[in-house]
Amino acid sequence: MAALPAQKSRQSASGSRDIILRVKNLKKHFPISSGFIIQRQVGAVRAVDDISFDVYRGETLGLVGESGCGKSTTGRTILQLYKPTAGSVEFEGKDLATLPPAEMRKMRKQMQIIFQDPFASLNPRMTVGSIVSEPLQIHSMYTGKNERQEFVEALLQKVGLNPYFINRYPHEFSGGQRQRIGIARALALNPSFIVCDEPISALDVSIQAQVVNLLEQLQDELGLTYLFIAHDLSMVRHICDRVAVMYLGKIVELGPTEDVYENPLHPYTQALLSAVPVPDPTVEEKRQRIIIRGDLPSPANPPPGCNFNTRCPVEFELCHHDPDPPLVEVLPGHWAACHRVT
Amino acid sequence: MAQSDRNVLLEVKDLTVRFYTQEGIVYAVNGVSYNLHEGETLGIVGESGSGKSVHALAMMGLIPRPPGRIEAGQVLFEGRDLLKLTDDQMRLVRGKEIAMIFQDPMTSLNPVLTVGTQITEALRLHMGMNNDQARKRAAELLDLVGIPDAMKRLDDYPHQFSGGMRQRVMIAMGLSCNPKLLIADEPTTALDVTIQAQIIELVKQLKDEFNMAMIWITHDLGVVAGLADVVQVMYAGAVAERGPTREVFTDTRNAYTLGLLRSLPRLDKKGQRLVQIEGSPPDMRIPPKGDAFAPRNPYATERCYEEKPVLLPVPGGHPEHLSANWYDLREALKQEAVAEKGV
Repeated sequence: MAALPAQKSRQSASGSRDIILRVKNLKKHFPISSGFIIQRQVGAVRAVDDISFDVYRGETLGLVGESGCGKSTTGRTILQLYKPTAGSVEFEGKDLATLPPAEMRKMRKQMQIIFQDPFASLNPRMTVGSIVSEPLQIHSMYTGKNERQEFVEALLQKVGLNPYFINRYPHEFSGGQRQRIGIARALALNPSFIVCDEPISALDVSIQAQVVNLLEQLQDELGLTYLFIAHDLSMVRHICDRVAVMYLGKIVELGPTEDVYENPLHPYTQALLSAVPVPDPTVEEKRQRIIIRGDLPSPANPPPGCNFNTRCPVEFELCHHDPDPPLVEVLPGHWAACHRVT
Repeated sequence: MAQSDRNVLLEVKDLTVRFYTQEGIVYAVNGVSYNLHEGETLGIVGESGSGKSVHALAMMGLIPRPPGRIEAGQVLFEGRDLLKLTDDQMRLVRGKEIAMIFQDPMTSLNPVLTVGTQITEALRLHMGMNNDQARKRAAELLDLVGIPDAMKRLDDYPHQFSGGMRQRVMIAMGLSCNPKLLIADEPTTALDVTIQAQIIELVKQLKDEFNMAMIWITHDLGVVAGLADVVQVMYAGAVAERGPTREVFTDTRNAYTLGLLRSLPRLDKKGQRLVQIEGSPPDMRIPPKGDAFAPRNPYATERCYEEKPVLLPVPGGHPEHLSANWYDLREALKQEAVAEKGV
């Protein structure tokens, strides 16, 4: 295994960094019920199955994986939009699951989300002004009418929208502008942590860079921490400090972005990275693709042993037996869950 | 590379499509012309609203009329103008001579018919096969596109297949009558990257086997870089730049193409700040007077705002490399580099 530059790994693995969010053994299983009158649970979709990670203050942690791997469910369960089946989410040192509702409501000010689809996530019957000021109303902030309007106008300006548009409706805006409205709404309560749930994948290519640059600029200005959920691996490399790769409800690899991209340890990460096309014919000509066979197994019925063993190019005997490989720190700060590397 | 020595299979001349909607006339495709040679893969890149899909649908006689109308142009397929064919004649071309696969494999398959029924339909209709022959051929095709246990799966319904498998079924249907041209409209956009890689490998291999020409419509420059012989970049219903893939990527002459390339993060390179294209694509109900990209183009000259640019061979470049612009991008970039050094 290639040795990493010592300096870099020490820096990224430093335990002294300020942890804003700690996820421990988080599980989210959705029940599958059967029966017409007497409903009983016959199984469960293991959308998120025992994952643990920390998010450091001020960083961008990327959560990548293919559709159905549980990355969006993870984001929503962290924000307690879904009730976790098991495990804990500690935000600023407090376990969110055990907080009384009044405390939780206060905590929600700190944690916001930007959704994927700017066409579905804005109420078409509300003006931009009322969309952005709704969180303020709920939390009784900036109660003076002029005060609130001024604040909203300043927010719109901050996300690159003309404050003049405050009384317009969402349909009058393009996709990129709508995503800016969603960002303004997320910023209204002055949060410290934002879950970005595929914020650019519904946008046109020429607009994606605008929104990403805006997110980066806001992070610098406001010291925000992002959990950046995405399937676009090129964009994740660009924006994230660290990255966690998910497969079928589990984290299979976690580490500093450069380490994961330059030296992927898990065979799934290797295949995923090799599958991404690069917009350069010279590079494309020389690239060796690892094509993994078959499809994602159903999260309601994962295979015994390692979840990836049905598609893995390097699986062997041990991979087919429980327990599945644990996530271990293979290199400083760089974790992987694979029998081949541990 | 470019294959001008081969015969021209498809000749699109000045294709113009408009939609007459209640909100006004949408100028969707504005005079698109190009040639496609036998066995060639053409990658058409553009954003939503660039007219890339609409022009392909118009060629195939698949746009709803009304509100759509083909205002002008010719689409010569082996010398025959497809736009002049009757519906019955066109039906014989579609599926047999030219096949098309679409973005969303769930909505383009009929959910209440088995996959076998849907594949054999074209075989019975176009190839005059009886039921048994058609079923046998259908199983062969499913096997060819990598669906295991093909004979049994013929009796399954589309919902019993995953997204990637459904797209394979669509490809099998597309190939069933040995078409000379396959038009693929964002066939991998709805799929995950590992599945996309599977499908692209499959299509590359089948294209050689069947000796087809292909038009691959996408918004992903990365896919085109590895797949296409010729790239055509579209913006606001017109061709902005066109040429052999390597030329377009390495000797880019159109500011829109350059903007797209610079705004993309790269998997194989460490992140620098992305250079964004300012503004948004034009509203095609109010077509701009000059170059549609001019308001977003930092290199635009006065002429760009006044006069529509013409697609011309680029000065000092590959003879088949064309670009529609009034400014000289190479010169502008040189000056930019000099200015940066000066600072």
